[in-house]
Order: sequence, then C-alpha cells, then structure tokens
Amino acid sequence: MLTVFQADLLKIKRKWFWFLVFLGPFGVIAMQMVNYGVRYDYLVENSQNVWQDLIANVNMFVCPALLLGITILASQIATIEHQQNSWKQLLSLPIKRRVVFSSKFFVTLMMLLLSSILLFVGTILLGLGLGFDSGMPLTDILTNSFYPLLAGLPILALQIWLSITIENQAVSLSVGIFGAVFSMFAFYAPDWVIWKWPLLFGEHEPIWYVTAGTTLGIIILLIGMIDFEKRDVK
Amino acid sequence: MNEIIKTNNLTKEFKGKPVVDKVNLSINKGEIYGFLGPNGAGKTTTIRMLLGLMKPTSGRIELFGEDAKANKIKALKKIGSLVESPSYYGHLTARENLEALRRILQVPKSRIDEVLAIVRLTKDADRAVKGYSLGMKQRLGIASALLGSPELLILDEPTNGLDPSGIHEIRDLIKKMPTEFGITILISSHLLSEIDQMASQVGIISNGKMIFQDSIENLRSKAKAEITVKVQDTKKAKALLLSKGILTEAVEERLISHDMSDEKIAAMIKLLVTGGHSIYRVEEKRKSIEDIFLDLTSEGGLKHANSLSS
Repeated sequence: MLTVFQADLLKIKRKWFWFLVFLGPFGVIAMQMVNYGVRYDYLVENSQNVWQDLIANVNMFVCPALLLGITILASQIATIEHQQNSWKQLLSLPIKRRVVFSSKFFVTLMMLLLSSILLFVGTILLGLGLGFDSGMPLTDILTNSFYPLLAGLPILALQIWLSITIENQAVSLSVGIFGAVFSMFAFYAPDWVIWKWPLLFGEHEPIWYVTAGTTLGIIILLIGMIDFEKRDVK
Repeated sequence: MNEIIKTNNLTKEFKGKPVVDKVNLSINKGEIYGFLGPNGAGKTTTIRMLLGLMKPTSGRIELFGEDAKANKIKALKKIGSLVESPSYYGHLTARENLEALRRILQVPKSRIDEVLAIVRLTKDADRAVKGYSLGMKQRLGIASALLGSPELLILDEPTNGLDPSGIHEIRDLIKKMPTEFGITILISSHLLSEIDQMASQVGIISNGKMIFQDSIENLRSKAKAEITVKVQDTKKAKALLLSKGILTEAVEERLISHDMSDEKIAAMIKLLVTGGHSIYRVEEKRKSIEDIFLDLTSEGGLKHANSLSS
C-alpha cells in the first residue's frame, strides 16, 4: 500500500495539484477578507460574538469549495492514468487492484486534509488580522475546518469511483459540479442528501454528519474497490 | 518447469461473440514466441487475459506451471509487459516514470540506470517524456517492462508505428534477450516478416482461433516450390503428360506441377519437346512465407481456395 501511495505522490508532480490544495482554502478566506473589508462595521459592530460569526461566514463557502476541490482533484488524479492509458501498465504490476484504487482515494484525502489545515490556519489569521483577540474558540475553528471534509467523504469516494471507472471525465465533473452548486442552496434539503452533509446543518448535531459521512464514505470506497477489481481493462 | 505459458481452451466473449475461441497456447522457456494474426484476430485480448487485465469467459491459464488466477501477483512479479501503445506519464521524465514503477516493484535504484542503458535512453533520461519521439517512448516502454528483471517478457506489437530504423533497433534488442538475460519472450505482431526474423516458435491466430502453432522452420517448410510451364497448347500438353503418368494442373494457360525432382522436370520437358510442343516459359515459383500466412489467415474458404490454386 505504502509503495503505491509513494508512486502516486511522484506522479502528481508538476500537475498543479499542490496549487489547488492551496487555492481552495485561500479562496474561501479571501472571500471573507473582501466581505469584512466591504462591510466591517456592519459585521463586527452588530455582532454578539465576532469569532462565532466569522466561523459561520467562513462555513458558507467551505462546502461548495470542498465539493469542487474533491471533484477536480479526483478527476485529475484519475486523468493521470487515463491519459496514456497507463491503467494497463499499472495493473500488470504485481499489486492488488484494490490497493491501486484505495491509494488514489487516500492521496486525494491527504491533499484535502492539507487544505483543511490551511483553512484552519487561515481562519485564525483572518480573525487576528481583523483585530478579534479575546476568546478565540479553537475547538470551534477546528470543527469548522475538519468536520466538513469528514462529512464529505461519501462524495470523495463517489467522485474517485466515477473518475476512475468512467474514462470520460465530463461525467464525473458534471456530477461533482452539480453537487457543489446544489450544496449552496441545500440548507433545507432532507438529511439523506449527502451533498448537504458538509454544511453540518440540519436536523442533527454536526457530529452526526461526521459519523454518517465517515461510515458511508468507507462503504462507498469498498463498493468502488470491488467494482474496480471486477472490471476488464481496455 | 519448462512450459512458461500454457492456456487451455482459453475463451473470451464480448456480448456473446467469441473474440478469443478455445486458444491453446504453449510457450517454453527461452523461446521467442511469435504471436501472429491480422488486426482484430484476438492477439491483444489473449495477452490481456494472460496479464490478468481481463477475465476469461472460460478456459484456464497456467503461468510458470501454476494456475494464473490463484497466483496472479506471484506470476506478475516475473512478467514484464508492453501492451499496444506504450503507457507513460508525459509530464514526468523517463527517470521519474521508471521511479514511479520502481517504487511499486521494489527493485534497487541502480536498476533504473541499467534498463535505461539497455534501451539507450541514458542521455535523454531527464527530459519530460511528452517530448520524446514514438521510438523513444516505445523504448521507454521496453525499459519499464524490463525494470523488474522479469523471466517472461510479453510484448504486444512493440514495433507498431515505428520507422524502419526504430524497428531494427527494437528487433536487435529483443533478439538478444533470451541469450543475454535468459528471458522468455512472447511477441505479437500482424506482420509476419517481423516475427520471421526473431521468433523460434510461431502461433497464428485468426478470428479468435489458433490455426497454427509450431516452429518457424515448420512454417517455412510449408513454402514449397512449384514449377510452371507455359506451352502453346495447354490441353494437349496436359493430356500427353498424363498419358505418361505425370500429373499437372492447367491454370490460365499454364501447367503447374508440385513436388518435382530435377530429374522429373527434365523428363517432363523432354517429353514435351519430343511431343512437338513449343515451350515458351519454364518457371519455378516459390511460395513465400507471407503467402502461407495469408492463406492461413484469409477469411472464408473461397479466398483460401483461390490463393492455393493460383
């Protein structure tokens, strides 16, 4: 597993993956910089708790940015193998197919975790930059930075599966982008709609979406692995 | 363990239509096995099944004397392959391409330089592969196949799309493998001339069926000579020869006879001359190995019959 993972890390060189990893959280924070820049008085002076409001504002863009990030990264990492039909070479190597499949999942997950860390740091820096000093709610910022990713694991597993098994990336990209756009207006969608889970908003506590997301994510990953093992490689 | 590859009634169907139909391959250690057939005959599908990329509809594969399905990973460790167009990561250099494979194969780093030297890419190893010529990409493909020091090399159309010098280069490379590295090779092609110059054993597949499997010498020996005689009056000449017990075929104003010794030919000609026939031409026509290949693989009985009688 580790060997395939290392090989995957090498393959994403010079493909702008790391740039995307940075761009996601930077974009989300930059939006809030503009938001606070334009209406600082309104946002800060009317606020009971400036930090909580900041978290809520950041959260608004985390979900679509995360879903877009998942979609693009999953598609990109699959494209590396699709491009020169490297699947036949990769799968003729003495490794199990499920390892190849899950390695793609975990490489993408690792990059998204990195984005989450950047978001965490970014949120703090933005808050401090705006002059909020007292009572920084570290746990809430952590929650806001990492829970959406965990709640979004089913989407990641789904996008990886689609991108790898359907060579035409228009399919996976369409599904992913639709999901990202949909999530922005999905606050009041029923809770079984997985695309709204990263919002952490609905009938349940945030931790429910994290548990459900992680569980369903693993299930979809396993189904994808089994499906991938059965396929004929062209 | 002398038989490296052995398949038993290997069959693959796509939507109920057999693409590979009960193929029995048998390849021994140290051989260069030429796998021949026109495009779409089922060569690549067979090779994909050998590599575990596709699952057979029915039939069995044995690799290195063991069932391939149960020992897939173990068998793949000993196999290097190049299937159709070379697979590569264009944004990486040749060295990085090989490194990505090396991490999975877990062979020493020095092996990368070794295989680069074998295919003579050392000089260009640090350039992005997307800038390579097709021949260089193909050579990189062979280097990738060799990276794990395989006992069996499976090459599917390795010279496809190369220019003559590229073909020559790849051919020299392949030829020295069994002697220098003790590697068994399965090489597929739709060009007989190419296999003819390398292979020791030949298998010919057509429409999914194996129609010939033997040594290249035996294929060559099928290329028998025939003597064609053109005379003034074919019918009379044929009757005359027949009355003396010499069997000929009359085709397009020519008399054709097979399997004739020098003495018999001399006797036949003497007979014709003394019988008052004007002889215009006496030719020996040797069937090329290419003709035999076409005969064996041509579709339908009609074409087969025509090419045999012409």
